Amino acid sequence: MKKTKVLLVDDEADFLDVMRQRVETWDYDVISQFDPNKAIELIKEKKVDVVVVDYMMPLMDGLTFIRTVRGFDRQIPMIMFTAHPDQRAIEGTEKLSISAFIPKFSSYSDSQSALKTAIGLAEKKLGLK
Amino acid sequence: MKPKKRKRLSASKEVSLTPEAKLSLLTELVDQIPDVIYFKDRKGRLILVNKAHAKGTGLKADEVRGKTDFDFFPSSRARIMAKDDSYVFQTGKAIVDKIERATRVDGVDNYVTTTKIPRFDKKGNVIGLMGITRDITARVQLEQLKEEKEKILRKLQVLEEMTKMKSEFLSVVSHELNTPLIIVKEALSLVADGIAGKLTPKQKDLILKATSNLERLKRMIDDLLDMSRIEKHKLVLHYSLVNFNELLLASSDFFIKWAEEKNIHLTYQLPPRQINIFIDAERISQVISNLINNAIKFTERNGKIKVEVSILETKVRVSVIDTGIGIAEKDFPKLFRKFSQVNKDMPTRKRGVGLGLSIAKELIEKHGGEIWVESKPGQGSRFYFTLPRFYTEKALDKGVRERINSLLDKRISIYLINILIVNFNSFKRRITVKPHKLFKDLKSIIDRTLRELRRPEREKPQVILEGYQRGEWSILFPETKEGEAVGICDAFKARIDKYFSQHKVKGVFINLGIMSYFQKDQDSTTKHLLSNLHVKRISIGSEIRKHKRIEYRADIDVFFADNKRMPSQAVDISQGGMAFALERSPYDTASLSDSGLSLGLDQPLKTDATIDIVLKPMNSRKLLRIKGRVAWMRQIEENISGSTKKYYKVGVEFVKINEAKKKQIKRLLASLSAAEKKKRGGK
Repeated sequence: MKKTKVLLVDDEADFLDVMRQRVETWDYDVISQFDPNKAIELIKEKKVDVVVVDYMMPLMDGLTFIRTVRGFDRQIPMIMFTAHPDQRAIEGTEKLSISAFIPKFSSYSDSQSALKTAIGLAEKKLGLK
Repeated sequence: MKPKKRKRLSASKEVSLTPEAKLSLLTELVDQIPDVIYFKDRKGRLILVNKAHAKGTGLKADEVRGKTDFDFFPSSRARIMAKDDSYVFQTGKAIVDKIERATRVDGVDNYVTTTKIPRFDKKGNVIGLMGITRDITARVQLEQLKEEKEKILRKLQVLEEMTKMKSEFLSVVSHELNTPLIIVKEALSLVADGIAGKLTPKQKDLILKATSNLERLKRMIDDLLDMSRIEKHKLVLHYSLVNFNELLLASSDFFIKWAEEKNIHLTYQLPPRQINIFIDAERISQVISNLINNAIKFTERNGKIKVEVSILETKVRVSVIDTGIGIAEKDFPKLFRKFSQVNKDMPTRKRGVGLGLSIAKELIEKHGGEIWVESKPGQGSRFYFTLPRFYTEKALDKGVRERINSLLDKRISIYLINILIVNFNSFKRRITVKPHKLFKDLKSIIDRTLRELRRPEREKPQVILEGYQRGEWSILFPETKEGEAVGICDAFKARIDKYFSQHKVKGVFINLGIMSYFQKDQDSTTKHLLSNLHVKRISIGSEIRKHKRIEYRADIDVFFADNKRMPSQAVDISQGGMAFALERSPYDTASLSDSGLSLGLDQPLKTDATIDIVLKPMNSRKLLRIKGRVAWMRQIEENISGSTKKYYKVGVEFVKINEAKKKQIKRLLASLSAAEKKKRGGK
């Protein structure tokens, strides 16, 4: 059975690397990309199933990234890393159909399992599970 | 006389005045002007002065003639004036608007401008001078004030910028520090999980040490970040419905194991009854973690720690009790302050940044709870905190839950307004309207209100679920803005209220509250999704709620088990308990002196201690004696007309109340609420 393809987009190369290794242990195919523009190309070419993106990147901020993608793809599940939950209160996120907000730094809740659950839910929605 | 022709007025034409008229005008000018005007001869002696001058010296004009400045001013000043005079005499030049300052006897500075103009004879020799002195003190003071104001404004600006920078600095630094931390944490975790290859036991041990110290570091950074958020007033709580026992049990294994490392026996005592309360689960976990952490830190090997949850009338209270080294009473106030390290001689590996308890205090108080401590050095410590309980409930109707979940899955945010008739069966019997009609009427009120207030352009329909057998309506408003939902909720309440009063149904209360409900599956995703659900509840009932607290300022006497008496002030009262105010710390065992009588407290006021209260109601002679148990304590700082007043509020729950006593209390409450209503009606 084909593994679900997860695209990780973040400007921190090391973070991308450790996250990729972690997500791979959940039995997904992971593509990591630190250039948001290249990431958009990959989505356009329909090479990925689920997208996980950081909220703050110097080249393109997370919301802009999602908005751009939503411009041509309303279906693909997008999961966003946030600095802390307040970022959720960004206007217009409802229209962007973001599947989940995962806190990037959190001592008291587990970002890892939240991410795993979020990807799992996205798969469910896509009918891939 | 013919009126003068005004058409052509040439400059050379003089206004016709007699010399006497001129003199009179000029004299008038010189004498009316508030400036001091004088004429001096070549030797500096006064020849002629105006009224203002005379007023200043207190002498008559002719008394002044011949006198010099040395006769009126202190010699130091007179010397300066004489110097100016000489300058004018010798150079034949005028001094115009020179500013002089003189300090008055009362220390206030006077400012004047002086002008001295030489007078010449026909040959051009200087024969004297004429001078004008003007008081500009007021003007100078005004300018000084303006300057000070500017200075202060500039300082304020700088301060604001610095504060902003400091907060931003903290945020940025914390963020920057967190990023590599996350990476290290994840990298270590990958290695520890064997993903990068099999580990030898030694390697695993080192990795675990690294990980646990990373956790320490992360906690300190988080504390700093929290503190900066608190200072910026940016700390936001994210409420959700939590099964409190589950919340505690979620981390209990971890803490029990950790305590075991010091051979400390950690136990939990949870109430058998499950309760659900509306709190920020993550933040409360943080507080509990902090308290248990501290307990483990400060308890020696082979000690005991107990975490106990008590369900109080309107609150939930958590106690963390240890057999550790204890805290001296003098250190109590410092405990909850920022950066306080009570035990500086503790080994560094055990210390944190010192923010934990102050953050805990902020979090608990933001929830509307209290946090306090009881301890004695060598006898262990008891840390307590309370959280308010919002009343209820049984599970939401399954149908409602399903609808909610399906909407939430589509990431549509929802407002849920629940209209609930409390104790419907007994309510049915008590009201004069037949139940069947009641429903029809209430339903039509709901329909009508929705039709009128719900914006027509809404595409998504609202969902109305009726459980009218139970007297309940659940109305879901998908994608509704808070303002609209609140407006509709208020309209419901008002119209239902009106309905009951129209039908003269007596004794009905209608109350808006936040409802808590139980949802079994609360994994981390649902937690996020739940924040898209907002709940408002309207309850209709016919009994005075047991928990309705009425403000009741009165003098009371508090008696302790050993019959020591302490006068105090009641703050509020309900059927279940009351709160009173203590002027001094409940831990203070020094004796109160009241008109010679010394009333001492042998022991500080303790949580769960039983006390007797004697109420002296204002409108009756009969004293009301009630027994109560101390449930919670809180220090309050109030700003009353500019000054800060500190006092302690102590919550007491009534115990062992017989029927007769209950009636007494009910009567008191009834009279109080009637008085309250009257007061409000009168406004």
